[in-house]
Amino acid sequence: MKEEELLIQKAKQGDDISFGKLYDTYLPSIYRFVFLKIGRKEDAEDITQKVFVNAWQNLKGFEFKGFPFSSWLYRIASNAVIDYYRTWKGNISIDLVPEEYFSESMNEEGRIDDNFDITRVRTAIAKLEPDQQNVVIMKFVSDLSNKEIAESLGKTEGAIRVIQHRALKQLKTLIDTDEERHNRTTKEA
Amino acid sequence: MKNATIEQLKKLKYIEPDHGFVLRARNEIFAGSKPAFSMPSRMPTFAIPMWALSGAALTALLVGVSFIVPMMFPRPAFSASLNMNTLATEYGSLPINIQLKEIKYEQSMNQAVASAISEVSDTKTQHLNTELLQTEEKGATLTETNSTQIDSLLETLLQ
Repeated sequence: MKEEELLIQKAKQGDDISFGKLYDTYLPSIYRFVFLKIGRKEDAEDITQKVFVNAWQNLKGFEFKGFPFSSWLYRIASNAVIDYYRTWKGNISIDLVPEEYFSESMNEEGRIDDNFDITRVRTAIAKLEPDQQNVVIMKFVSDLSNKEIAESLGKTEGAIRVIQHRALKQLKTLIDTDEERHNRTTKEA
Repeated sequence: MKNATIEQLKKLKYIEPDHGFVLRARNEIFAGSKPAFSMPSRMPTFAIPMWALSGAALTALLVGVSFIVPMMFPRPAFSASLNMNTLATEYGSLPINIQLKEIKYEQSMNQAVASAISEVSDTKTQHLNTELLQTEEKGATLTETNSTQIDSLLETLLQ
């Protein structure tokens, strides 16, 4: 945390190398969050870029309060997603995750199986309430603590625990229903 | 069963952004305008308004001192300059009086020169009148003079 604090202080004074290090650290997780919320590659890239431009332009307003820098970035990202849906009038469609999107540590067989699971989970996430989506992604995909999520979303830790419980319950129901439908279709075929 | 859902969620971590996008976005972010520099890190945010306040207070203090101190301790040099007698004395010795005197002198001199010139240029003036000169000659006490040179010159003039 000390190192990150130093990078932030340097970046606040206009040091783009320090901000570049923060960018390299947090870009993948912010992109993942936006991509899972939006479901479209091009739009997710566009919004992610805007998040970092916004962060770079407004860094002087950031105050270090003991939370990781990512909490602030997630707050900007979730607001950017809200703005996106406020003006967006298209249909919700979830792109299949291209193979090159998976990290290189996965083998090819794993990629095919996981692509199926990932599409199913993403479809289920898309049906959750926006707050439930945020909490599920931040907690289980980005590995943020309840405290960090609370800071990012401007809610109490207790509220985050309640949202998380309801979201997981809802998600399980959605995934089970989808699996049953899939199994029934396979049998009929 | 909840754990199975969580395991499925954790698979989403494998999603990575496109490498080309990462580089392109990085270049575009830093190619844009730089943010305004903030205050040095050693200065806490709460100190900024304090700095501004102390600056304003110092300015007010300096302005106040520049007005109050002269009123409390008046300088004698200023009051002496307002004394009427001193002023009259100083006025009397001003170079303008000298200049006025010079102008008067020059005016009288001009008048004298002008009259002399007019007399010399006038051929009908009385000092060249023959009758007047003869009358003056008669009345003159030539015997008293000892200069023969003057006498001869006067005779030449009368002829």
